[in-house]
Amino acid sequence: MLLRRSFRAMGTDVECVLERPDDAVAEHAFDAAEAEFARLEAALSRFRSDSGLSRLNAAGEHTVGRDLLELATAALEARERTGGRFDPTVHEALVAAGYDRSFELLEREFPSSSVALAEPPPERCGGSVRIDRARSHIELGAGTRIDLGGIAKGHAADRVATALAHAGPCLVSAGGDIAVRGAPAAGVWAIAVPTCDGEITIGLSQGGLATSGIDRRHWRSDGEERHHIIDPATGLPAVTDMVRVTAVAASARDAEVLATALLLAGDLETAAAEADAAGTPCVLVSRDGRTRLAGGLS
Amino acid sequence: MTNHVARLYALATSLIVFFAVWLTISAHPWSQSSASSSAASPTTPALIARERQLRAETRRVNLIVNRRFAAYRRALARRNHANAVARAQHAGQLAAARNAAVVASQRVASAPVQSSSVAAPAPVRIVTLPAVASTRTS
Repeated sequence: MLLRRSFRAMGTDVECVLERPDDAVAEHAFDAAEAEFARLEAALSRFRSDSGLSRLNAAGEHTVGRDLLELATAALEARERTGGRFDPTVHEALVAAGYDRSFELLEREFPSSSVALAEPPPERCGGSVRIDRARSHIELGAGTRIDLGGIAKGHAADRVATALAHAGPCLVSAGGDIAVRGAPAAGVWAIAVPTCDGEITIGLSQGGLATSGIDRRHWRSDGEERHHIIDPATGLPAVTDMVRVTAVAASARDAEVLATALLLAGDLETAAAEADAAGTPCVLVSRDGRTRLAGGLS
Repeated sequence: MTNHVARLYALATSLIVFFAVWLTISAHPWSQSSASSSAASPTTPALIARERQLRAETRRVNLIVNRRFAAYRRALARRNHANAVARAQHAGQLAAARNAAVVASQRVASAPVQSSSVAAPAPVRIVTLPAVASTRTS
């Protein structure tokens, strides 16, 4: 049977689904999953002043924990791999664009999602980050700060799913980032992906899936739409004709990187061509109501 | 007749004496003393020392050559092993690529036919099952 546990963590709704009899093992596994999310949030959130990430951003250099070290390394590798489209050093640009507190607070303080923010100045991205893995030490370049928002959720989903898999086939969803481990009785994990016309269902037996888009976490500034996806090339909220991209990869963390990179391709046809070339299964949804499956997904 | 026999004896005796002298002379009974006199030559110890030095150098050179050859053989074995691993990896990648190409072509060729998808399950596909979870912009 499918057991579920839902809770809030990392500023989003988390849901863990486990296929096994309802017993003490399942209960213990869910408790451990919730605790692991709390632990990772305490290490990786930029909205908590006591987190390892906040201490690193404040000091410019810091000896960090294993998770932050691993995730920062992965984020920098992703920056290389995506030619800079995915960049963890967009922190200053995000703050300049108005995303300087958790979105829960933003929505509470500006309930209309119409925050009257001034035009954000372009912020430099692509800052230097030096990682000394032997000493677990990270040093940021002058004026550089890190945000690991989306990739941190993917990382957490992957880690918790891997741990939960000891109790049985499982699915972990952290907002839009989903990690699955082990095939359920149905054969695959059926995951609904929103499109222009409703939704399609993707069957996933292993790996991860993530959605990156501008349809949530957005606000208006001087009559102009602002959102939290920063284009590192300009340091400003990305200009794209896509609303959202859902990508599938070997892990939720990788899927998050790919989804963001494809969203920053700018237009649907370019993103589809890139996904086809790279063999990245994805669902692309444009502002003008088109849905495109690419990367071998049909 | 008597004289004739005597002459024959005399001839035979002289022949025997002649060959005896010949053998004595050809045996070089004086050469022993000549050899002992040459052993006493002052260059002999120097030559013997030189020979010993050359033999010692030969042993050292052989030692060095053997050591280097052993190191070369070890390096060669390592390289052969690395080549074998690389060849095995390459073969694996080639097989995986061929397999992926076959799966992809099956998927494209038989998109409307559900049974083919089941025979060659892709890691991700559109399904008609009820959704267990849904994704959205994170």
